[in-house]
Amino acid sequence: MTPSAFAVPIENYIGLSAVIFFLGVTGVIVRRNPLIMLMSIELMFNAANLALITFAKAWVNAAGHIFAFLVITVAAAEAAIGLAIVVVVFRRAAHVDVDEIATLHG
Amino acid sequence: MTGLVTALVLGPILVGFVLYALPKGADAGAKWAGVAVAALAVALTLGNPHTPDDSVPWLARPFGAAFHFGFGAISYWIVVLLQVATFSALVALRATRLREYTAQMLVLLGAMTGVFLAKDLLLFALFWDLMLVPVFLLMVGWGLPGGGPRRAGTAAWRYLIYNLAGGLCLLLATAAFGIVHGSTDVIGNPDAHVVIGNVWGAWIFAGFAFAFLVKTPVFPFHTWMPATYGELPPPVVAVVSGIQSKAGLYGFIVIGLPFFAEQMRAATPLVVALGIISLLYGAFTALAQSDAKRVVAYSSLSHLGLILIAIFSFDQVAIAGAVVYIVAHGLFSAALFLVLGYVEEREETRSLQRLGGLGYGNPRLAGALVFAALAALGLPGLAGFAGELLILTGLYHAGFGAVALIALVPIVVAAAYMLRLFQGIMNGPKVADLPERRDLTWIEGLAVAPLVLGFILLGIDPAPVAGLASDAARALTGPQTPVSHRAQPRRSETESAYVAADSVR
Amino acid sequence: MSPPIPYVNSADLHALLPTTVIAAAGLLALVVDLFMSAGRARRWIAVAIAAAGLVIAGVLTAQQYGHSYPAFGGAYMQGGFAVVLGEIAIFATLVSLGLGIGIGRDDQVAGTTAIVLWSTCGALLMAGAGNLMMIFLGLELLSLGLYCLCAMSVRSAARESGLKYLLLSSMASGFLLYGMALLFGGTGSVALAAISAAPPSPLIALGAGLFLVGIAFKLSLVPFHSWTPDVYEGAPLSVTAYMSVVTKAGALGVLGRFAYAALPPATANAILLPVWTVAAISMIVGNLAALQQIDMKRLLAYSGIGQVGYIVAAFAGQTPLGLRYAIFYLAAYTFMNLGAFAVVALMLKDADGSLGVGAFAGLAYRRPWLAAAMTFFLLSLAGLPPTAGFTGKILILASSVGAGYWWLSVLLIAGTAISVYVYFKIVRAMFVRVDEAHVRAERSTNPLPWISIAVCAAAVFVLGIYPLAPSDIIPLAK
Repeated sequence: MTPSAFAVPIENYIGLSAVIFFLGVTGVIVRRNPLIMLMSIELMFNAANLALITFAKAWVNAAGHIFAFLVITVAAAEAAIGLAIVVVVFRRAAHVDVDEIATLHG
Repeated sequence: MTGLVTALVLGPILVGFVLYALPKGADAGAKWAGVAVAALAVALTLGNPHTPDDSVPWLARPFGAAFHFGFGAISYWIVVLLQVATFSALVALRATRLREYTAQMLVLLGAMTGVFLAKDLLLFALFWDLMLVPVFLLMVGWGLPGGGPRRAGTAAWRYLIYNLAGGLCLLLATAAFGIVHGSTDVIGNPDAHVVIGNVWGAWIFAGFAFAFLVKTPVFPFHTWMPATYGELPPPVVAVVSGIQSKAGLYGFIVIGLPFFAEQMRAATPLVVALGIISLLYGAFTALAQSDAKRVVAYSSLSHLGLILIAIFSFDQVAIAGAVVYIVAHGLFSAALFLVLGYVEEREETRSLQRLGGLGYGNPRLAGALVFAALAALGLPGLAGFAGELLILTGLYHAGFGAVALIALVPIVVAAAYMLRLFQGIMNGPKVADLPERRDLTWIEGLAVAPLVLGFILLGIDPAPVAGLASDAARALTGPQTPVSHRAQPRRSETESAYVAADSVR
Repeated sequence: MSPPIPYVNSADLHALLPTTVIAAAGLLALVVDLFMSAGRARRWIAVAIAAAGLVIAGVLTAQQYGHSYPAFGGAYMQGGFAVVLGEIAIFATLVSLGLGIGIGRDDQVAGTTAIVLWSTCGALLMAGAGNLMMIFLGLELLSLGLYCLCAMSVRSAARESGLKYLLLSSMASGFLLYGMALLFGGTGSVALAAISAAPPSPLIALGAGLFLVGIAFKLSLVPFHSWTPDVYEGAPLSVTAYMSVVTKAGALGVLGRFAYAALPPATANAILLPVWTVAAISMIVGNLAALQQIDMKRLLAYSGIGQVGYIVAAFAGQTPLGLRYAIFYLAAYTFMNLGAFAVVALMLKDADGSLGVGAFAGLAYRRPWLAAAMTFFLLSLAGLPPTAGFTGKILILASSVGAGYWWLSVLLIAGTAISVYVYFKIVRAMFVRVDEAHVRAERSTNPLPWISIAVCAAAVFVLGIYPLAPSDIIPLAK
């Protein structure tokens, strides 16, 4: 179980991925433009990818790499569907803002 | 005849559903089918008192349970009473949508029979909750609210929420009982050897007791009762007040006494205090009511308080008296509510201020009311007296002399409010602007007759009921099983619960 | 140090056979639709193909009962409780498709049907998932389909609900995924079983926490529930019915396996205590919020939040019987909830519409059979006898009391007391005397919901009076 050598300490990779993750979370919560929100969600996914790959290298376990590929594929599908729905919802609107769609009183 | 007891429970429910499926026009037929079911049930119950129990396994884990029905020494006469009261309620029924009405009444009959004949706690809890539903639906569909149809259902809500709160506590307590004891198939089973530890026992008993006290009802849980009795149509209230309200008292006798004797003794001061408050509060409030149905409703509060005290006295005679009084009260309160229903049907009011002078032109109606009122106030020779006498004797024996003395007060007050009720309706000046009245019809007479006959017979000779109940009471209160579980090495309560649960896995 | 990659053999493929059949049925429905001319027959053909596929998959799944096998090196656990959850998902898919004979316009039905079937595949994968990748794959397969289905309708509310669901659910997936990455970091393996073997570390605790947040969102437990009523209200009725059961079946499978098989016993109670707390809050808040609803779909959404609280409460203490009773209650919930949805579908002319509670006024006198069925389902939802809801609740109470979680059972009772008010509001409306002129009465011409009602009512009754056999055949954990 000896982690293989890292040129940069492993903490830095994980720290970066945590920062990206929280950027993503903040983006989803703070921004009101659904496109930016979708991008922030991608950030969350990619933060997880970075962590997965780092850990995969640390544990010398290819499962993490495979997982990361899986996530990339799924994230692409998610982005495609997300953009399609955004287009459908805002087709008639001049600009996009989630606060302006309030038919449903959440 | 095996299967008979189960048939008494499920039969009416099934017939109820069949009636519901009949075409819309079949009102009269549905009603007479209902009457026939009730009459058949009475005949079968009276004809086969020694029917063996029916038992089919139900749950094996997390605790044992069975579909176990059977006649018990205490439940037998209550069930007969229930069937007779349902017959009386149905026979002279006049209402819109009779088909649905009768169907609901039959479901109610079956569910309540289930409560009294269940020998398994889980089954008891099942029917306990089930019997609320038809009453709720009857109140919503046919209720007579004080504030007109717009207010229909407010009392129904109160009824349902109060009683379901009780029912859910009962459910939780039943589940906990099952986990601790390992089986719920224990009612009326002398070999059950139920040992509930002190820590759990108090909470489990509290759950049962809350359900029973709300159902009875006892002060301060009674606030649902006057509005419910006022709004329910008279035939339904005859059954609800006559029998459903006894389910709590029955529960104290068959569940509380054998399994929670210690906890019941500990709770005695509190419950007796509540009983005395109900007794006095009910009696004096009844004196001040102007709504005829509410007079009887509050008188019930008072009478049932007395029965509750009798049960908590742990005296064999008092408990036998309690059972006699349960049956007696069921008979005369059903009769009272039915007759008041006939009065209301004729006069379209039940206010004692508006009513008056009805007795001059309606001797038969007045006769029925006076009989029921006399039984209610405890006239010697009628059933109420027999029950009261046994209870007071028992209380005195058991060292509750002071309570027995206090209990005399409401008995005197009962005479006052019952006579006031009778006078207010039947005597006094005739009220000119009320519609023309008909006397009691033969079919209404047929409805009241079995109830009146019942409390006369029971008043003359309470032995059949008292004898059975007394034997049962001796078994319940007699030499208490020595607290053998004390001798066992003490396990933690949770641990023993797991062991109990494991043993049935 | 990773284990050698196992060769895929026929047993592995056999484990995924039901899923494959369902996916293939979706493809077939799409292809056949290409050769169909316009008309109502298109709906029926697509739904018939889907139904055939689902029935075959149901039979195949049933054959896996009792044959536990860790397929693909433990990625997919065949047999065990996945069989029951799979059957629940398959049944719910069938019923949902029947509510409106497919979803959407005539020319859309084949597409929507295929999406529904593929979503069901996702739920089946989740129910049997034995490692983190399979969980993620199943979850996304299920969710991606649902985003599309929610946004299918032409109503702006539906599209809005689709977008809302997409954004919030993806964020939850993000949490779940990051939690998975941390769990992988803590254990060095994606297998769930590896987590319990690994030494406790902050990575595992944090990862499990994020993972559970994601699952709580998918289950719509209370602080993470705000999307549920809006999405349920906006989505077409069939989709709402589908979501209310299938997502729960999948997510409960994941939660069950995670709580029972993945967490090390030493730290499991500390990690899971927040979950039980959240479940308890859901029972109370879900039912309280349901009190104020006048739209049936919103009401059922909030009631579902409360019901999920009950189910999760059965896990408390991780007793072997607890998982069994949770699944039993989920089965009961499936039947009573879908039954109620079928009644609602019969009261709508257009399956895409919405229904207020007011439409039930006097229903008992206009359509007695429908009212009787609805009363029965509502009794079950409220936990009254003689229904599956009643016995399910007794079993959950017994299990949580037996595990020492008194406070959970007391809150369960409190939540039930509140829910009685919710459900009896409708019962009362059905039986109260009303002026018929004021009631907006619609009828559906689709006969299929009647079959669903009959099946669901029979199941609710049988599970209600005889829970011994059904609850005992549900396999125990692991």
